[in-house]
Amino acid sequence: MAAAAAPLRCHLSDFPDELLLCILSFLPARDATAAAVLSRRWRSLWLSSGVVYLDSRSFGRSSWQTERNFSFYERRTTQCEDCKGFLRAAAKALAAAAAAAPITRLTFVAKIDSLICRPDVLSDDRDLLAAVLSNPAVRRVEELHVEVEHWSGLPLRFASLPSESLRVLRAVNCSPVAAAPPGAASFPRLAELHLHKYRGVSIAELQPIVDAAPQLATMHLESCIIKGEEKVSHTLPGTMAKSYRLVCPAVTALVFAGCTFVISLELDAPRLRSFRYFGTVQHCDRLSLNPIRPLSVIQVADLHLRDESHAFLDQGCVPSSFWHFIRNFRSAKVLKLKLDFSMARVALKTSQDEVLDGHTTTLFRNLEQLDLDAHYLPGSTASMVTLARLLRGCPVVRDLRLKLSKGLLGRMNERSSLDQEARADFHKSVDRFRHKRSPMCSLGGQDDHDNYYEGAFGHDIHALTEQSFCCLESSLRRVSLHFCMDRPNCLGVQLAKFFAANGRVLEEIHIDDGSHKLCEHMKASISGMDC
Amino acid sequence: MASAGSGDEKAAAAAMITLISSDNEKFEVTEATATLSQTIRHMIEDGCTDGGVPLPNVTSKILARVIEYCKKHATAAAGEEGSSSSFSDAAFLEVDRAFLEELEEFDDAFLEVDRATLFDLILAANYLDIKGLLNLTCQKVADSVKGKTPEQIREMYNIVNDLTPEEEAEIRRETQWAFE
Repeated sequence: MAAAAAPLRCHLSDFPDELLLCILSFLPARDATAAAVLSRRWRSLWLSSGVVYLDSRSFGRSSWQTERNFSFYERRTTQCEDCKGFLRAAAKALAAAAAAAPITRLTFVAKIDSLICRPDVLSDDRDLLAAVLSNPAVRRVEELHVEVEHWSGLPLRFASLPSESLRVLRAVNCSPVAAAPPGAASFPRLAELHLHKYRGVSIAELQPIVDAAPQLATMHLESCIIKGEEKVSHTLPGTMAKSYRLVCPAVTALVFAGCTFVISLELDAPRLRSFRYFGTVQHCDRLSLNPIRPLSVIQVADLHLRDESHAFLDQGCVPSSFWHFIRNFRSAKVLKLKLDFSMARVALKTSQDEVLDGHTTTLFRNLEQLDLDAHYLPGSTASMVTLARLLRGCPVVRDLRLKLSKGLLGRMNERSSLDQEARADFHKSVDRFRHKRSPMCSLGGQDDHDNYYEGAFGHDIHALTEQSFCCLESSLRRVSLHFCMDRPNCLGVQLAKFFAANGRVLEEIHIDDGSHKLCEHMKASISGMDC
Repeated sequence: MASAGSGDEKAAAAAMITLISSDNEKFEVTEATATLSQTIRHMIEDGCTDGGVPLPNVTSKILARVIEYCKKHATAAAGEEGSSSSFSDAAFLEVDRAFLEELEEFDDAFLEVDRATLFDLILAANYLDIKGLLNLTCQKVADSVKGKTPEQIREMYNIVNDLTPEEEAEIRRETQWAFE
C-alpha cells in the first residue's frame, strides 16, 4: 500500500477511538483537558475516558529547583504555594473528569521535594496523597498508580484508598501503612498489588492487606526490603534470619524482583501457578514455599539468579542455598533457570547430595520443559556436574533448552578468534557427525558406543556420559542448544552429539551457535533415532 | 506418552515463524519474538502459522522496525503464564539496571522517526496487539502535545476544529483551570 509513489499521509484523525484514548491516557490532566477543546471528537473522548493523570510536574511554578539563592524559608513558602496550587488544580481536574464519567483510572505522580509531602505543610493534617485520595471523585477508581520520587517515600495509608472499587494498585516508592488494620474483605475487588522500591515491606503490615483482599491474584514485589516487623533492621551476618510466614490464599502469580530478604519468608500460596524470582543466589533460600501443601499447582517457575559473593561472608553455602531454593518448585511443569554465574558455582559434591532431602534422585517430578541459561567454565567438569544433576532430577522432561555461554573468566581464558580453518574443521565435524548418525541408530544399544564417545566427545562432559538419565530414555523429545561456537569440538557440539546419541525418543535438535548459522544445517528431524 | 505430546511437538517444530508483510516480504523470527504480539500468539496457539503469517496491514518497512523492537524486548517477556498485568514484564527488568538503561536507550533511539512512521508504528502495534510498543508510541505522541495550546496541537496534527465558537468558549469556561 505504502509502496505507492506518494504514500497516503496518515492523520491522527484517522485513528480509531481506542488509540486516541490510549494517547489521551498518557496526558497529564492539564494537557488532557486542553485536548478536550480540540474538536467534537476529542471532546467526547475526553468526556468518556474516566482516566485522570495527576502529575505534580505540570503544576506549580517549580522555580525553586533552579533558584539556588532561595533561603530555606523562601523555598518552603514557594513549595507550600506549589503544593496548594497542585491540590487546587487536582481537585478541579478530578471534579471536571468525574462530572463527565466516573473516574476509573487514576495516576498520581509526585516528583517534588519531600517537604510538600509532609502533613504539616498542608493546613489540615494530611499529606498530599491522602488529600487527593480523600476527594469523593476518586471513590470509584479501579486502577490506582502512585509514584513518588523521593528517598523518604510517602506513606500510603491503606485506609485512605478507594477500597470498594480498587482492582489494581501499583505503588512506587511509598511506604505501606495499614494504619487501621483493614477489616475482612475491605478490598473486595483488589486483584493486583505491585509494590516497588519500598524501603521496607514488613510482613506484619502486608499480611492484613492480603487478608483483606480475597481476590488478590497477582502480587509483585520489586526492589523491596522484606522485613518481619516494622522496626526490625538487618540481621547480623552469621545469625539465623528470623522466620515469618505469609499466607496468600488467592494469589496465583508472584514476582519477587531484586528484593532483599532480611528475614526468612515462608509463603503459603496454595493456588500459586506462576512464580518469578530475580535475586542473589546467596540468600535465595530465605524464601520458601510451604512444603506441607501436598498438591501444589505451580506451573511455571522463572528464576533468575545472580552471584553477589563480594557482598557476603558466608561462601560455603551457595550450592546448598541454590538447591534448597529450586526444590521449592518440585511440582512445576516449566522451569526457567537463568544463572548469571558459572554452573560450577552450584555444583554439589557427591557427599553434599543429602542437601536434596538425602534420598531422592528426582527433583522435579512433573517438569516438562527446562530452560537453562547459564555460564560454564571451559575445561571444568563441575559445570557439567550441575547440568547432570538437573537432568537426572527431571525424569519426564520433554523439552530442554540450553543456552550456555562462557562466563567472563572463560572468555578471558580462551580469546581465540574464529578463523577460516576452524570453520572448515567445524563443517567437517558436522558432516562426520551427520554421517555417523545412521549407523549409530542401527546399533541401538547404548553400551556399544563407548568407543565412539572416546573419540568424539571431549573430556568436558564426562559427568554426563558416565551416567544414565531417565529423561533420555523415555521423555526427551526436543533439545535446543544455544552456544558460542569458538572451536570445532566445544562444549555445545559435544552436548549436541551426546543428546543425539543418547536421546532415545529425541525428535528434534535445534542448534544456534551464534555465528555459524548452524541451525540451517542441523535443524533436522531425527525421529529415526527412536529405536 | 508419545500421543500426549503430539501437539507440543508441533509447536516446538515451529520455533521459527515466518511473517509476511503487505508487500510480500518474508521475515523469519523466533517464536519468542513473534509472541510479543498477542495477535500472532493466538495464531500460534490455534496452529495456523504454517506457511507464514500474512500481515496485510503492515508494510515491510514498518514490520522490520516492529521486529527490531520485539527482538530487543523478547528477552524481557519470557512468557509468564497467566499474567494479566501490562507492566509486569517490563517492570520485572527494572531491577536489572544496566539492562533497563540499555532498553531505555534503545526505546529512545527507536522513537527517532518521522511522524508518518510513528503513526504507522502505532497502527501496527495496535493491529498486532503489542502492548509495550503501543504504549511507547502513544506516549511519544502524548509527549509531543504536552504544554501546547489547543491551536498548536491542531496545527501539529491537522485536527479540524468543528466546534462552534460558542461551544469552544463554553468548554474553555468549564475547563478554565487548565488554561490558567
